[in-house]
Amino acid sequence: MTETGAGVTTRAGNGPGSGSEPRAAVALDSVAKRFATQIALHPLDLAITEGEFVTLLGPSGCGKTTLLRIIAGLETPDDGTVTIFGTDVTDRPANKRPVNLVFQRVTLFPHLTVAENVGFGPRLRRMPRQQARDKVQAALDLVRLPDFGDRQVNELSGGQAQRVALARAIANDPKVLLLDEPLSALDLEIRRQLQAELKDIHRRLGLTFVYVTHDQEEAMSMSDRVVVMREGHIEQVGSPVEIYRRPRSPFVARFLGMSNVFVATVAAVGDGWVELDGTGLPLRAPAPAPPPAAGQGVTAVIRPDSFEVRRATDGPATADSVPGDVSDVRFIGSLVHYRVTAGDRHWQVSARAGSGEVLPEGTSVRLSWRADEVILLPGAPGPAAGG
Amino acid sequence: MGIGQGVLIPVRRQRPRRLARASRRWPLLLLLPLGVALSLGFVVPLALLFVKSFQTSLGYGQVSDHLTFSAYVTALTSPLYRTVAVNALVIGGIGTVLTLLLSFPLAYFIRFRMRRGQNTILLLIMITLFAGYIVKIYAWTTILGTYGLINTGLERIGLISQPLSVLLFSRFAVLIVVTYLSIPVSTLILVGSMQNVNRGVLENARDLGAGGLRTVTSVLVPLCMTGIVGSLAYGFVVIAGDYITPQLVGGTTGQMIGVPISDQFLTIGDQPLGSALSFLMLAVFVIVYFGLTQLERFKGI
Amino acid sequence: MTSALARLRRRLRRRGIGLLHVYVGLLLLFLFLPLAVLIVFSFAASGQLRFPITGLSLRWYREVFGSSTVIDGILASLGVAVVTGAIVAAIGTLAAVVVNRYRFRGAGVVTAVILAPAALPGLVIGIALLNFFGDLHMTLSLLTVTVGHVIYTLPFFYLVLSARLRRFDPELEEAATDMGAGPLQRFRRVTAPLISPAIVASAFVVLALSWDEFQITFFTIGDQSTLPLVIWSRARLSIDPSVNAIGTLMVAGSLLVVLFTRRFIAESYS
Repeated sequence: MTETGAGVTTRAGNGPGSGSEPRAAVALDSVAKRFATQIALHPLDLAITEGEFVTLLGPSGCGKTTLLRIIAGLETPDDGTVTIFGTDVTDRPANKRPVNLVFQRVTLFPHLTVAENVGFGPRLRRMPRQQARDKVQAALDLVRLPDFGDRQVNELSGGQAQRVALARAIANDPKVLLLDEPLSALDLEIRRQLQAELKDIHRRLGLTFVYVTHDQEEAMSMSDRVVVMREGHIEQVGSPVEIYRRPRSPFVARFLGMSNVFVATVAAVGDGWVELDGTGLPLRAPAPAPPPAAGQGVTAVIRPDSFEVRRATDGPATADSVPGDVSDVRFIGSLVHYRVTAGDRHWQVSARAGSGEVLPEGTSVRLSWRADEVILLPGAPGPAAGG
Repeated sequence: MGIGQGVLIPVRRQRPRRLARASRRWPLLLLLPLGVALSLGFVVPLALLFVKSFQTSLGYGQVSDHLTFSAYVTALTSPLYRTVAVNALVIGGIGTVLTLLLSFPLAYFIRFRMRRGQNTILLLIMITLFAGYIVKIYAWTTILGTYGLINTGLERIGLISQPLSVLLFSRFAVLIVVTYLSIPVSTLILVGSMQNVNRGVLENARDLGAGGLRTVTSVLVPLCMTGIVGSLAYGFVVIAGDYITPQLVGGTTGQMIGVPISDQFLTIGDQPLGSALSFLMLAVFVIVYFGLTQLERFKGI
Repeated sequence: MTSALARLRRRLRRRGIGLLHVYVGLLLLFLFLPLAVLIVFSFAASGQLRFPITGLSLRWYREVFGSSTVIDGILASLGVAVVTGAIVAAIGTLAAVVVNRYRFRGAGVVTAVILAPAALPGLVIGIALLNFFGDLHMTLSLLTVTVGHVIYTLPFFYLVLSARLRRFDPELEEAATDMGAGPLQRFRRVTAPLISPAIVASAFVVLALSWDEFQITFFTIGDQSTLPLVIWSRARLSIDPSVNAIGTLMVAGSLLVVLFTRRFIAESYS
C-alpha cells in the first residue's frame, strides 16, 4: 500500500511563468528504503514540479535526509523508481545524475582554494579554462563572495563556507539543487540572512530546490510547498498556508507549533457548525465535508494565535469566550506566550506584545477565540498525548 | 570561528559507509600483497621454527628429522633456564608496571595540562626513542658504573664512602634500563588513548566533587583502559624478550631468558632447544595477554 | 624549615606550578640524562668513562668520521630504511585503506594478523627468520635484514595510518561523487591528496623504527653491518668512547629529522 503525498503530479507551485504546463522535475514512485535494523522509508510517492522550492520537514529520524540522498543517488532505494525530468535514474550513481547536494556539514575540499572548490565540477567535465573561470566567478557573485576565490578553506567562517558549498553546487549547473539542512549549524542571525539569500537565489535562477530541515519556521518561510514527514511516511504535502491553516493530523499540527490539540466529542451538528463537548469550553467548529455524526469522537486544534486574552475586568463576556487564569507567561519580545487554564485544560495562547500590558501570572482573564478558526482534523482521533 | 584546523577535521565516529556501488571482490584483491608478504615473512618462518622445536639437535646447528618432545622437556626441567626465566617474568612484570606508573602522569600532563607545547614535548620524547638502542644502554653503564655519575656524585656529597657495586651488572640495573627504554613508547600509547577522552568529562567529575586523584582513578583510568592494557602488554613482551640489555648491564645475576635463546642460535647450536624455549616464552606471553585483557572489563565506555 | 617550604610551595602555586609539574620535570630529566651523559662524554679527552671528565677533545668524532666501518654502517642503515619504508608504505596503505573503507567479514581477523608481529619480541622474529633463511639456503645480507624490518614495521605503519584514516570525513568523497567525479577521478583529486600527508607521516615512523632496529637485525645480518650492529660490535668488546660520539650524532640526526617532519606529525596530536 503506498501513501500518496501529492494529489496530482502536475500541481503547479510558484514556478517561473513558462508558457506550457510545468514538468515534473523529480518524481518518486513507491520509493522505499530499509537499513539493517529498521525501515527508513515506507513506500511513498512524491512529485516535485520544475522550479519549485520544496522542503522536506520533519523531526530527526523521519527519513527526510534519506529521501534526499536517494534523489541525489548516494543511497539506493530498495523499491521504487526515481525519475528526474522524465528520465529514470534509479540505477544511476550519484556522479551521473543532474542533481547536486549541499551537505549539512561543511564538505569543502580542504586541500583546494575556494575557487578550485567551486570549479571542481566544471574542471571534471574539462570545461575550457576561461569558461570555467567565468562560471566560478558568476557562482561566487551569486552567493555574494565575489573576492573569495583565492582564500583557503580553513579561513572561512561557517556561513561563508556554506555559501561556497552552494556556489560549488550551482557551478555544476544541476537541474535540481538539493540542500540537506545547510543552515542548521549557523548562528541565528546568519541563518536568517542566508535564508533570505537562498530564497533570492532561487527566484533568480528559477532552479528546482529540494530542501531538508527540522525547523518548521525555516520551512514555512522559504518554501512553495512543504512535505511533512514522520517515521518514514509522508504526513501531508501542501503550501505553507495550506498546511498551517488546514493541518491533516495531530502530528502535523503539533510539529508546526499548534500546541492546542485535543480530543472532543461531537455534541450536535447543524447549520454548517459542529458543537463540541468534553473540554469544558463552549466550542464550535466549522463543519467539514462530510460532517461527523453526533456522538463521534474527533480531534480538534486551536492555533495559539486564534486565542485572545484580556483582563476579566475589561469589558463584558462575548460569545466564544470563557473566564480563566493565566498560569504561565513567557515574553519573547514581539510575542507573549500565555498558558491559560480554562475549562478542563490548559490552553497555549500566543499574542502580539506590542506596547501593551504583559499580564502577570495569576491574572484572571477572559479567554476568547475565533470559532471559525477551530480546526477539526480528519480521521479518527489519535491518543491525546501521542498522535 | 574557523571550520576546522588543518587537513583532517575530527569527525564523530562513523562506521565505514559502503559507497553506492562497492563490489565485493576489491578488498580481497587489494589485500593480496599484504597476505603474501606476511605469509612469507612471518607465518611460514614461525611455523618452521615451531617444527624445529620438535627436531633433535645434533649440535652446532645441525638437526635430525626425528621428531620428539625432548627439547621441551629439557627446557622445562633444566635448572639452567629456571633462573633466567624467572628473571624475565619478574623483571618483565615489575618493569612494565613501573613503566606504566611513571609514564601515566606524564601522559596525563601532556594531554590535559599542556595547551601549546604538546607537539614539542612529544617530539622531544620521540627523539629519546630514536637516539639509538644500544647507545642508550651504553650510556647507562656510564651512569651506573663504579666510576659513573651516580657513584661519583654520591661519594662527592659524602653519602657513601665506597662505590655501590649493585648499581651495575645486576638485576637492578636491568630493571632500571628496561624501564627507561619503555617509558617513551608507553607515554605515546597512553597519550594516544587519552586523546579520545573528552576534557569535559574530567571537568564534570571535578564539578561533581571528585578530587584530583579520585577523578583520575575512577574516571580517567576506565576511559583509557585500552591504552593502559596496550602499554602493559607491549611493555611486558619487549622487556621480557630483551636479550641485549641483560648482556650489557645484567652481570651474572641479571640474565634473562632471551640470552640463552639467542645463544642457541648463535654459538651453542642447539636450535630445537632455542625454539622450544621461544615457544614456551610465547605461551607465557599469551597467558599474560589473556590476563591483561581481563583488565579491560574495567573499561569505561 | 617547614614554613619556608610552605612559602615556596605557595609561590610556586601562584605561578601554576604544582606537584605534577615537578614530577614531569624530574621525569624528563631522567629521560634526557643518558643523552646528556652521552653528549658530554663524546667530547671527553680521555678514553676512560669516569666522572669527572678531565679534558675536552674532538678525537672521537674524528675517529668516527674517518672510520669506514661506521660510514658503511650508516649507508647500509639508510638503504635498508628507505627500501623498507617504500615496501611497507605500498603494502600497508593498501591494507589500511581497504580495512578502513569496506565493511567485510574478516576485517577483524585481517587486523589481528597485521598486528601480530608487534606482539612478539624481536628475538623470536629474528630467530624465526634466521632459521627460515637457513632452510632456504639463502645467504644472509642486507636483503634478509630488509625482510625482517618490513615485518617488524608493518604493524606500526598500519596502526598510525589507520588512526588517521578514521578521521577522514567520508562525506568529502560523497561530495566529490555528487559533483560528478567517477571512482578514479575521486581518488585522484580528493582521496589521494588528503591521505598522502598521513601516509608520509606513517612512513617516517617506519624509517625511524628501521633505522634503530637491532634485535631482529642481529640475526639476519650478513657481511654488511647496519649502524646499530657497528655500535654493538664496538660496545661489546671493550669500553669504546667512540660509541658516545656515534650516539650524539644519532641524537643530532633524529632531532633534525623530527624538526623536518614536524609539519606532518603535528596533526596527529593536535
